[in-house]
Amino acid sequence: MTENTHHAAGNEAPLPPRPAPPAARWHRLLDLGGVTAAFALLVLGNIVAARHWTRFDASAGARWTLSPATLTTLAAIDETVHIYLLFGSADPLGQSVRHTLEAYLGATNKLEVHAVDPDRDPVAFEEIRHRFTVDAERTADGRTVTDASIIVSRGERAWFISASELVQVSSGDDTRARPREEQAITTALRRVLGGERTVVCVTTGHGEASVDDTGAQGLDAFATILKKSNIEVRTVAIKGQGSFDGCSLAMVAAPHLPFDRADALALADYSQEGHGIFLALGPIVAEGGIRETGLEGFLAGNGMAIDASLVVETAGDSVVAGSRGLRFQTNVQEHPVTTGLASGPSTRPRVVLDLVRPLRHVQSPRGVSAVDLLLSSDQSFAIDNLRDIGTWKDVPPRAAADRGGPHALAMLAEERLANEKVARVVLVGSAAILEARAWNEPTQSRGAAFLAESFVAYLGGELPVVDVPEKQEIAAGLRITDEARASVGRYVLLVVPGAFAALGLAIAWLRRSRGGVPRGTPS
Amino acid sequence: MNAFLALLVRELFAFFVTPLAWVLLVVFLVVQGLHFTLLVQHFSSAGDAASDQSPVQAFFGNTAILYLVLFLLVPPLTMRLFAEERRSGTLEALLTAPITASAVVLAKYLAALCTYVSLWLPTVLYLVVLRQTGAIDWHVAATSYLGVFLVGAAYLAVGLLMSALTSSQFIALVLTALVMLVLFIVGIAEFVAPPGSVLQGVAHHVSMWSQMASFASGLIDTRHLVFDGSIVVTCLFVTVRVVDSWRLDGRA
Repeated sequence: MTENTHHAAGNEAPLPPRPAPPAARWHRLLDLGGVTAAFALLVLGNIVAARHWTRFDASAGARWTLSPATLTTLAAIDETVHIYLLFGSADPLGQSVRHTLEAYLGATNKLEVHAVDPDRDPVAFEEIRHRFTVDAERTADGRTVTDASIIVSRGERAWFISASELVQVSSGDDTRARPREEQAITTALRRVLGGERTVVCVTTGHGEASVDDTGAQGLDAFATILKKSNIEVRTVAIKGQGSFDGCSLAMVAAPHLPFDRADALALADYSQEGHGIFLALGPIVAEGGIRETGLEGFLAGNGMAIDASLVVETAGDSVVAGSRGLRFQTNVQEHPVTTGLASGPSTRPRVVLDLVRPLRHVQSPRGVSAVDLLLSSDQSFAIDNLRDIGTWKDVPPRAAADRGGPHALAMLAEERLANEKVARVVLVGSAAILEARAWNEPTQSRGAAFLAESFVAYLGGELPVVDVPEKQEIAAGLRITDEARASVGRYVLLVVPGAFAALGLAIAWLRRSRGGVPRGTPS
Repeated sequence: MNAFLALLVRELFAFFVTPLAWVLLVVFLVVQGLHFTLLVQHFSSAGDAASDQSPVQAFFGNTAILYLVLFLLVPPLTMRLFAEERRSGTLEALLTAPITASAVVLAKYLAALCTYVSLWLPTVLYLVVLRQTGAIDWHVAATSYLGVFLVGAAYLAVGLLMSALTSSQFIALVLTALVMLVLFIVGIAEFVAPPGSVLQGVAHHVSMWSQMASFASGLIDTRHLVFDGSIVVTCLFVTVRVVDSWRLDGRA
C-alpha cells in the first residue's frame, strides 16, 4: 500500500518509509518462509515425479503401449542391452522411436539407450561406425545417412534396424503410415538375446562366388549384411558327412563347376537331417549351352528341376532397358518368406534378376511338392539356343522350340521329416540374387537383396516375429486437390480472422455509441 | 462467492471490451492459420516421406510456432491483471472489498485462462477441415488441446505473478516473456546436453517442446501434469502472498 500512497501523493515529496510494526514483520517473515517452502515443494515434487512417472496412452489402437509379447521379451533380459540411435533430433522418425523406447525403459532397467547424432557428434559416431561396420555417406545437403537407424547390441551380438523397418508408408489416394517401431525393436532384442547364432555355411570347391570377393559378382556385400543381422558366415569345403557340422543352413552360390556325386549326396544328407539349403544356380555356360550343376538328382528329390535354358522377358514394363530381355522385374508370389514384396504399396521394392534359368515342378520320389516364389510374365519365353548369346543386340526372336511363359524363377520345397524337423530347400535360377549389385540398387529395386535376406532367415529357422501385433495405421497425408487447398488457405487466413476482426470492431462501435460502456457491463 | 463471480465477470468483460483481446485474437488466428496452411501444403505433397507423423501431431507438437504463439499471447494477456490496477489506483478499492486475496487472485487467473481458452477455440475448425481430407484421431486431438491448456495455464500463472510484482505493465510483460524465454532455452538444452546427463534430464523435464510432443502423440505423462500443476499452484500461492502483503501494508 505504501507504493500506492506514493502514486496518490502526486508531486509531493516522498515520505520516509515507516518502520513496520513487529506483527507485520512477523507476517512478512512467515510469508517469506511460505514462499521459500512453496518453491522447495515445487522442486521436490518435480524430482519425485521425474523418478516415479507413468503414462496414459490415449492414441488410437494404443500405439505407445507395449504388447504382452514385448513385455515378455523385456522380462527375459538378464544382462544390459545397448541401443544406439543413429539419427539427428530432426529425423522424422526420431520422436516416435523415443516415445516407443520410453515405454521400453519404463518396463525394464536392463536397457541402455545411447543417442548418437552422426552430424553433431562425429567422434562418437565414428567409434560406433568402426565397431559395428556401419555404412555411412554424406548427402548433398551435408547430412550423414547410415544403413542403420538403430543398432541393438549385447556383447558381441548386434542387430541393425533400418529406417524402412520402423514404418510402413502406403501411398496412393490416401497416404497412410503403419508404425512398426515395436516390431523392429522387439525383433532386434530377441535376435541379440537368442540362444544360438545362425550360421550360414557357403560351399566352396565348385567355383562358387566367394564371400571375400568385393567385386560385382562377389558375396562380400551379402556376407556383410548378414553379419549386421547377427548371422555368422562361414565357408565350407564339402568332405563327406559332417561337412556342415555347426551350420544352421548351407548355401550354394553360383557354382561354375558341377558338383560330383559325393558332394551332392553330402548336401542331400544334410538337408534330410532337417536343415535348410539355399541354392542360387546361375547358368554355367559352356560350348554354346548350359552345363548341368550336378545337383539335378537332389533337386528332383525335392520336386524341382532347373532347365538348361535362359528366360527372356519381353513384357515392356518389366524389362530393364538395354538388357536384351535378360534382366527383368519378376512377379513375387504370396508366401510368408516373401512378405512385404508380394503385395502392398506400389512403392514396395521390386525383385529384379538377370540371367535366370527357368525352373520346373517334377514328381518327387518322396512326394515333396515345391511352391513357386518368383515368376516371369506370360510374355516371357525360355530360350535353349545360347550359341550366339554374345552377338545379341536386342531381345532375341522366339524360336518355335522355345517354351512360353510364365516360368518359375524361384521355388521353395518343404518336407516334414520323421524326426519332426522340416527340411527346406530354396532354389533360385539366378546368381544375381546374391551379387553385390543387388545391395547397391536404390531401395525401390533392392527387392532381390531383401528376398535373399528373407530366405536366409527362413531357412535358418528365424521366423518373423508375428506375436507383436500390428499397430493401427495413421493418416500421414491429406487427400486434397489444389483447388481445395487454396480454399482452405482462404478460409483459415482470411475468413476466420476476418470474422473475429469484424466482431471486435462491432463491439468497439457499440461501446462508442453507448458512451464507452456496453450494456450489461458490471460496475 | 458472489464477489468472486462478479470479479471474474468484470475481468472477462475487461478483456473483451478492450481492443487488445481482439487484436490478439486476430493476430493469433492469422499466425495459426498460416501454420495450418503450411502444414496442409506439406502433408498433401509429402506422401512418400518416411514419417509416421499425423497432421494433428505436426500442428501441436514438433513445432516452434507454438512458442511464438505463447510469447505472443501470454505476456499481453497477463501484464495488466494487477499492474494496471496498481497503476490506476483501483487496487485499494479491491483490497478493501469483502473478498479474500485468494479469491481475487483466482478470479483474475480464471479470467485470463478463459480468455486463453477462447482464443484457441476457433482452431477446432481446423480439425473439422482436416477431417474432410483424411482421418483424424480425436483422442490425440483431445490430448493435444489438453497440452495446450496445461502449458498455457502454467505460463499464465507465471504472468499473473509477474504482474503482481510490479506496477508497470511493460515491466510485467518483459518479465513474463523473460521467464518464458528462460524456460524455452532450458528446454532446448535437451538437444545439446550430453545424452543421459542430469542436465539433459532436467531440460527434458522442463522442455515445453517434449511436453507438447508427448501430448500431441496422445500421451498423457504424469511428469508433465506435475510440472505444469506445480508451476500453477506455486505461482498462484506466491501471488496470493503478495496480494496479502499489500493488505497488510494497508492495515499497517
